[in-house]
Amino acid sequence: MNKLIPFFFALISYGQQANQEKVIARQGQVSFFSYTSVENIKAENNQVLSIIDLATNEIAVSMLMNAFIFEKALMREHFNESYIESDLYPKATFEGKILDFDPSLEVEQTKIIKGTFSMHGVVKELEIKAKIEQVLQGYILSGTFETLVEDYNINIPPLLSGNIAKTIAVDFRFEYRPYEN
Amino acid sequence: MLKLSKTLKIVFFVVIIIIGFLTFQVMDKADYRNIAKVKPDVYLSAKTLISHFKDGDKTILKPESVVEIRGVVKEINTINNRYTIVLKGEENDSSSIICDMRANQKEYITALKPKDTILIKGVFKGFLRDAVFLNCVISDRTINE
Repeated sequence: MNKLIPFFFALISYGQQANQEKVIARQGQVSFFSYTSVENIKAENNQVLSIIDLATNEIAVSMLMNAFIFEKALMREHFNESYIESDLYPKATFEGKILDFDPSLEVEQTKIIKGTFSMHGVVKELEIKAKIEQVLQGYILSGTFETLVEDYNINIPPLLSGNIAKTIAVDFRFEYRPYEN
Repeated sequence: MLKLSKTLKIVFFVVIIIIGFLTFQVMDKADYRNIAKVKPDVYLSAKTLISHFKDGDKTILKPESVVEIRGVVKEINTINNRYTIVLKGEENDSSSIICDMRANQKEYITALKPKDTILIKGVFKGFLRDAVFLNCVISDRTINE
């Protein structure tokens, strides 16, 4: 029994160490913009979950598609029921790795995040440029990228095609804090 | 001429009814109703809700249902320039309840502090690591002295 005690301590301390190497953002923000001559559409989701494992630089993101807030009720309705079909595909996820990221550096770093993004039943490889800064409580990761609507099997009726841009601009910002169990 | 005018009137009337119906369909969604006046679909305590999710029972709530939750305030924050109240479950729970508050709740929120017990009503959106509620209003509160 006495021999087992150090083993348990080692196991507990390993578990704590592994968690200390992770950071979490429970209220990350992802917004998208569609600019056309007919109308501009903007929506934001403020409850996006993300975890970074600082030991491996792996990053995971998960968001609820029905949690996007729109300016107009009808826009939200079309988004959820006709385009994204959030009842069938409730979440979008990203899993990847921040390339050449050094978590110990206090200076701002601009890095490429490479991984797979899954939305509306479509899985796509993405490479995104992101800015990472170390702050008092953790890290802030932010950036912007553009994506094509047609890549995600989203059908826009011809009548509304003039209202929605073919290329959507996506902004993201995550405030990471130390991971708690 | 008289016949055409009558037909036009009927078409106009039908169009108005269709527009009215579609507008009602959209505005009747929980996100656009005045949540403060909506009768909740479910009443729950924060602890019960989190324990169901922890046990893998993610069907306890349907997305878009209006829920009233009683719980203890873990944190109040303004991340993303929005007022958010986080309710806690049991002491060691890693999951919480994230309530994105309506803009008109600011004056009630500023009087709140962690450990207060409150009753919040909001629209359930789903569960990630935490249960997410939008469009939330404070129904009642008990100050922790």
